Amino acid sequence: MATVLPVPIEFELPDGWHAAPPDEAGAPGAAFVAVHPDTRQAGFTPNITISGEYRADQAALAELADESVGRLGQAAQDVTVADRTEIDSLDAPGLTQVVLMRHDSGDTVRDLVQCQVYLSMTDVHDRSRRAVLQLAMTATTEQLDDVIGDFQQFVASVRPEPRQP
Amino acid sequence: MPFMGLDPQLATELATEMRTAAAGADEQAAITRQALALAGLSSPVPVQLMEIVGELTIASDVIATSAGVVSRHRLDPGTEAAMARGLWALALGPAAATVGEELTDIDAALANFSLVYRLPEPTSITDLIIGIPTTDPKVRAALARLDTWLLPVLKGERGRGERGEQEKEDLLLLLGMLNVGKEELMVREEEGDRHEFIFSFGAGVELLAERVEADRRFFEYGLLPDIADLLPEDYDSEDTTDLDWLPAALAGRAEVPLRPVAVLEFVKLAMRYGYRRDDDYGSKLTAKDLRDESREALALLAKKAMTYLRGTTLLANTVVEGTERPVFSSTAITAQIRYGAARGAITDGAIANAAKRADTAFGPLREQFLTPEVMQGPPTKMSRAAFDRAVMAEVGHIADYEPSGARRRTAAYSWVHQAGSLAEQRERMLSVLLSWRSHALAGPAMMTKSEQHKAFAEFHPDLPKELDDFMGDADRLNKVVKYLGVPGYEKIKLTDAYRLHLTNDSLGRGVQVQMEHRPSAGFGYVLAGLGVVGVFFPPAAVIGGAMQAIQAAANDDWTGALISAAGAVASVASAGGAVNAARAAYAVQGAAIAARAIDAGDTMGAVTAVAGAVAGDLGVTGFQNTSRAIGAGIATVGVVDAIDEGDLLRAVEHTASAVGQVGTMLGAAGEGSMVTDTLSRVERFARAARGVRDEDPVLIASALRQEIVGLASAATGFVTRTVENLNDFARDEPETIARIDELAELPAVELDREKDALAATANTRGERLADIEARLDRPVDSEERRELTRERDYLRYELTGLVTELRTIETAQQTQEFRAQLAPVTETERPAPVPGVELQPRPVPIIPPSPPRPPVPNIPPSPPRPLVPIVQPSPPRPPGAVDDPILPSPPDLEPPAVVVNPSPPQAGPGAMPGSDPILPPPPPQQVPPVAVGNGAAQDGWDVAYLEGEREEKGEIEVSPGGWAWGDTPSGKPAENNPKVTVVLDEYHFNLLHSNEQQEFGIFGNPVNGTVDNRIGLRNENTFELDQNGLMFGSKLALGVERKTEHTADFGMAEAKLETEIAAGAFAEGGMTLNGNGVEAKAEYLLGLRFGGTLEADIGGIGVAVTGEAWAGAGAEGMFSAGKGEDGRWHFGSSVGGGMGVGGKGGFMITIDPDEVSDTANEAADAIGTAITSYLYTPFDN
Repeated sequence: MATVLPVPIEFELPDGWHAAPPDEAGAPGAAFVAVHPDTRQAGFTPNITISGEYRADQAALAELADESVGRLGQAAQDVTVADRTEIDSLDAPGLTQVVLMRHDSGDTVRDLVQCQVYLSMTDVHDRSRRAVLQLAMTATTEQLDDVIGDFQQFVASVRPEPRQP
Repeated sequence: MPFMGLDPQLATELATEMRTAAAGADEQAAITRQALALAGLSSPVPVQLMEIVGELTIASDVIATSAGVVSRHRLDPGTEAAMARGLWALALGPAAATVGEELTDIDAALANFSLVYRLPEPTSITDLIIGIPTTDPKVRAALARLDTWLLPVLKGERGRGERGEQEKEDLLLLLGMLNVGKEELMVREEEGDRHEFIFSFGAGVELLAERVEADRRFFEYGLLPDIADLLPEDYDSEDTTDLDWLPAALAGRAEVPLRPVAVLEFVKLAMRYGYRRDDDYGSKLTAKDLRDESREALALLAKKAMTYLRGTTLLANTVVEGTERPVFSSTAITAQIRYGAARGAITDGAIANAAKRADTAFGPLREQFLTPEVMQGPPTKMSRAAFDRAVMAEVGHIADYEPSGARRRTAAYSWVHQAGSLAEQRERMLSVLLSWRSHALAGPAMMTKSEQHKAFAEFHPDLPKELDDFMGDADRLNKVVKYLGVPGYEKIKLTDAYRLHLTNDSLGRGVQVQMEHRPSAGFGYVLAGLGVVGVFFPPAAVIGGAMQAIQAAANDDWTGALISAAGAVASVASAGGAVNAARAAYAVQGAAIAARAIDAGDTMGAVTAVAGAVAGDLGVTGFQNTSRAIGAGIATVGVVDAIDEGDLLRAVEHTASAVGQVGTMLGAAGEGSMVTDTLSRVERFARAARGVRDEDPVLIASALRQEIVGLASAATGFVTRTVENLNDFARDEPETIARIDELAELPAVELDREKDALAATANTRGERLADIEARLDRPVDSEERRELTRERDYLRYELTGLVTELRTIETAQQTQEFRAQLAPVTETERPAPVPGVELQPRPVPIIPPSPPRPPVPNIPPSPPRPLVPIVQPSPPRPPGAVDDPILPSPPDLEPPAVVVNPSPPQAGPGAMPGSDPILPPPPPQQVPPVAVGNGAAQDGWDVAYLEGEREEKGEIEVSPGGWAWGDTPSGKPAENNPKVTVVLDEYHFNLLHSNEQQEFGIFGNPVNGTVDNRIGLRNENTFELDQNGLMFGSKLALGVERKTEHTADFGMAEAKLETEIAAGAFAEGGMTLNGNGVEAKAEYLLGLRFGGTLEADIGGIGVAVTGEAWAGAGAEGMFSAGKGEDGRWHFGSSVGGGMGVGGKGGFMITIDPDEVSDTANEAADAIGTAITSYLYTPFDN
């Protein structure tokens, strides 16, 4: 069973993106996976993954981003942070990170780009607690141009969902 | 022929895949047909599957055919097909000649060359058609005449104008012919190589256009043909991109449009093939930069790039240095550039942060030069030539790879740059190593500390200060190691390790040399030698672990350093077959992770890590703990394996098992067993979920069977207590019951007052009684003794009554408490008296007099992590529903054994798919009575533990109706809702049952009645498959039920009163898988929650590294995903409690959605900016 998110969210997926069961898609650690089959190429389908974590520590988003780079470094080579931008906000700071890497799946070597967005949602009553979402889009460098716009659209649409009755 | 963008190879692959899919569908149809035949059912599904098979087959044939066509039409002078094209070009000769001479027949000529290149605001045919010579005044005049009518045609506003690959190739031939000229063509015709000659001239376009077009196709079509490209009748041609002028421009037959975007693209193109702008290297040129440039500036930019590109064609006659590879291919050009870049990097000197990355990039170099022979031979300096050879080998390696993507060149440059700098580092290091090696070998086998210091000072002048800074940290870390209590690791020489890291591997080598002489130097030195190990042992995990350790240490994160170092050591040890060392290292790692988890307040994480550490430690010390520890270790290894295999469910299962056993080890009475119980349940449900996923009914059934047995076992204590209470009440005088019930209706304060008054009276009477008894103990005369005895007996009688009344009041108070806790039950279940008849006794809910705790089973005490019991009130039942054996069983939770078809339409258009994970509300259906093990007794309790009945139904119902293939479009109600429902089995366990006949009188009127008490379990498992997906549902009910039926004969009328009281707990779960999302309802995961981890990143490349689940907070876990009616996706978890108030357990968070939304918008912009700035962005106009 795929993992869960610490907070309910709502978002829009641009046309062409389809949700996929995280386990089957090979991302059991993600809570949500969407793929873009139209741009599938040489065995790699651009995908958007969402995960989240409830945290009660003070780790900066940059540290989480570092951790992500570390994780990626275990699965890919030449992991490089091409860009990192922090977004200041009192209750909802964010961070974006563009990671370049080379991934060898055994039979194919691909250059991958992963665009990551970290959204931190601080508890307004207890600032030591927060939920952190990680939105990531992974594509080969060739696919990037086809899907980056979609990813931006998706990211912009993400919003915590008010508690349902 | 609309094959624009079709890649023959990929199209062929696609066709193959589609054929495979067709075969799969075919097989599926056969299986379905067999299954239906076995079940004696009919369904249109197999037929529909076969239709799909047919469609897939046809489509794959079309695609394959199209791919063949494209292949045949590819322009390749070396092939037979090209020869045919060339012969065809001969036929065009007269037309071309006509064009060249008089242009009178230009219409006919253009009929063959209808390719249109669109530029902004075309005003003349020359803006649109490439290759028409305009130097001839006659031609210009003719074109002016044609503009009026031909322009609209060429712009596609009218008739002719179909564009495509073939037309483009035709144009290419025309260009060749125009260039060659009529006279030359005649000569060439006689020589027999005219078509090749034409091509060689047309290749002014073709040569570069091939690469350009390939890239354009790549971006435009993502290398996969659109179905529309493959089916001519549906083909709707798309606009050519703004880059269509490129082939002509490269052939020198068109100018680069002086628009910022066009110039940008052109410059980028040139840069991709090696052009280096003189003002700025790299690809950070954006359209924005060019927006305000003058036309002259733009023209200059374009001209420079054009000059470069044309210049590269000079390379066509050369080969890449040291290879047979022709230069004029992107591979070769890139290789050349990389080679040069590598040289440049070497000249420029080292860059930072190269070690880790270059380790991979520069593997061949390392293998070639850092061989044992080199390392152990006499000190030599790597020759420049050898180094160049190594770089060249690396360049060849990169060139072979040749990523064809946008960042190809930049990335390659970066690699080589780093590889080159690393090479220099290695070169320097090698010399250092060699000198140090001779130093070490010359001295004693084991150096003293002062010698090491001396060595440090020699190579690292700043070391003394760093060492001083380090000592405090080292002490602290050593304490941590001791604190972690991992036996045997106190002696890790962290100080040494740090020193060795500081020496940037050189001393590490020294230590290794020492170890060669002194193998007993110890495990600590293995850790210490990490820096060296990283060099000599290739696995990336080792390098990564070592680097992370160093980085963490640099960040003052000593726990992190220890984790990373231990991980690296473990990897090394594993690689070397040192199983025990690996286990030891894993133990260290686990302990360190535990420490970190404790710091973070993550108790369960710590427990898990400790379990892992124990598991690791087992292998080293032969550490014998309890069987629990071993079990935990084994389970933890299972977790690791499962994670490695990407099987999260199994990982959860093992984690639960491991932590559960550790919990038992910790297990004092309360919390340990609670943890154990809870985790055992997680394990069961994870196994059940895995069964669902793997379609393994046996696994599901066994897991759920255990769950039921476990629940029953957990309920035994509760049952025992409750049955005593029930029996007490069953034997009580009905009047007492009525009295208690009546009192319970009173306000609490009134009861208190009444109780106080009674207690006061009882005290007075008691004092008097004590006084009398004291007097009776003394000698008194017989008359007085008789009086005193009578008063004593009266007082005793009175006190008995008072105490009884007091107890009654206390029981009533407990009843109030109980009702308050089961408020819905008592409020809604209390039956209204039969109109007109005030009947006694009134029924009383099951009240446990002692202890005054609500008899909710299997629910541990809540604080500090409240495990909220799911208490499901039973809705009122119609009188007469007396034969339902199990409680509680509200009708809306009772699934029917067979879903009646056709199923009712979905609740609403676009309802969130899977939003109703449990079976849809079935039609009211009486669940037939289930035989109870020992039958119903006339009086007293029938103890029938787990002697219930299991019905293995296995019933299958397939409803007719159209089969919806794929997603159901949101917003449209499903007209047909075919459904397959399989009721796997039902369990009914009546744990206890009593049936008592009562007979008493009220006002002289006889009342006959029965009191039926039951305690039991019910479980039902179902599978349901419909267009919304596969759904697994499981319902478990544990409950207590009392039903009464009393009939009083008042002479004039017979009054009948039936009551039913139910209380209990539900466990209910299900999973739905469908095309739009996954919904899992797991309310039976009492006391547990699954925590997400931030690992979408790793999932993005299809590799899961870690997963975790933990227990103890939150009362119910549920997550859902789906597309809502609004078209947005709604995804979340009730675990987190959502916004604002209401989270259960300790996991509630209140956030500001608007601010988050703002940040998300900014993030989207930031990503766009980053991509634009750092990556090649084609066609971003």
